[in-house]
Amino acid sequence: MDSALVQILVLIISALAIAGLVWLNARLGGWTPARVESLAAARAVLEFDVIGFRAAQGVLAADGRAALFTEDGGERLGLVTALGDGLVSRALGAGDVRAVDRDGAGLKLALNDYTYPAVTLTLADEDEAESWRRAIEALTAAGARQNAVEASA
Amino acid sequence: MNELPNPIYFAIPAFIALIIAEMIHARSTRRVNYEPSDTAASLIMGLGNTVSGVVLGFIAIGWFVYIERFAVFDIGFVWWAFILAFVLDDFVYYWSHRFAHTVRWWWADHVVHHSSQHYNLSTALRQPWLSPLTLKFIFFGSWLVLIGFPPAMVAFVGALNLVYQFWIHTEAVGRMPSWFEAVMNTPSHHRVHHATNPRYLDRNYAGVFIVWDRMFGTFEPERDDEPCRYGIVKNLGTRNPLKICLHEWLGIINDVRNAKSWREALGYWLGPPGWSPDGSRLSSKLIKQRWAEQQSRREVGENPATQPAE
Repeated sequence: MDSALVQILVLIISALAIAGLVWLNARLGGWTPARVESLAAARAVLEFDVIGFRAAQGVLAADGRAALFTEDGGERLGLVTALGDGLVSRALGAGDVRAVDRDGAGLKLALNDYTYPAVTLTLADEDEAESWRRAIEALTAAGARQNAVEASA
Repeated sequence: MNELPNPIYFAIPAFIALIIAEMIHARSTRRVNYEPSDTAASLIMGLGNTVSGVVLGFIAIGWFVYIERFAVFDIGFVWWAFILAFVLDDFVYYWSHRFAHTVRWWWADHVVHHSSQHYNLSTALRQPWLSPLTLKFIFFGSWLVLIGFPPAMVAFVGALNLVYQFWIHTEAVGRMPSWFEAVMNTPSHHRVHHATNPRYLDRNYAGVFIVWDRMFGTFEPERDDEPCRYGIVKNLGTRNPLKICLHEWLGIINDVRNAKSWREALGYWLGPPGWSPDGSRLSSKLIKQRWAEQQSRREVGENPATQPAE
């Protein structure tokens, strides 16, 4: 058979096989959508993922999809979010947060990270959300100052 | 160029059957994890890799056909040459793989394969799309052709090497018999390679024979008291195949664009992944160093008698 035809055939069969395997995976189940079960669990993930990060004060989103931490002895913030059946974390330094918005007790964070989608955390009340918004804002302001210094240097 | 079949095409049905078997095993034993969005991302990356091989493969083929004329020997298609080429190709693979972890330009391509936080047979197929553009084949693929092995033979044994590596991407197999673990790359050795635990980072680069790691000081055994945590140092928050494919390339472009000098730009491009001029980011070496410091502090904390006298 013509080799181009073989290649096209392989691609078509592969695409069908992928669809079939993903369908089978979904039908078989056996995984649990991830939740940040507790602050202790989120802290453990963060401190494993980011060597040297020691989490201090933390807050857990009401839906268990994310947690935020301040850093003990540092200025960074720690973020842990659920993805699929696992957790993903980041240490956020100056310049890592693109925008932070508060809507009532909800806090929306957009990162300067192409691979990390915006995160919304619903916290206990407006005061708590506002205090975290200020902490994040301070971080973004520090980033902006750092950029300005670097640009003028 | 003499035509040899592509072993990967023949292995595809076995790949599919084994993935199905592992999924069923995962469901019944919970010893392996499969999650549909991760599986879909891995398999789509695998399909894209096949497409890119067809679309961009001519770059490497053209190069090998060109350099064939400079070969020192004319080895030809004799049976023993296949065996020798297989072993030598695996040796070259070890070094190519090692550089793929230590030079960011090549890591940007290879990171795709490590980007899943799962470790199952679908992870084996999570492969990059732009490999020919990194020109790694010039640095590591040319040797065997220049010695005199026919390019088709080199491609054939290289594909066999990749077929072998499929089955080692699993948590379903614990440890193989000790003689096998001593010589061959196994699921246990390769789990270590995919782990982000500082102890395991940048270890076990082997393709087929683990002896290369033992010879060159990069071997690390899997420990029962330290389960592997899979993925990359900064795990991706997305399953989008395009982002999986491009994220590190965009990172390089961004860093090089913002570099303050040529030296910095070069460091961001060809330095180790995680390199930064002020050390504010963490390369594997720095992570291992900090982890070792952390461990020794912990040991001192647990056993004050070992504290040095001041």
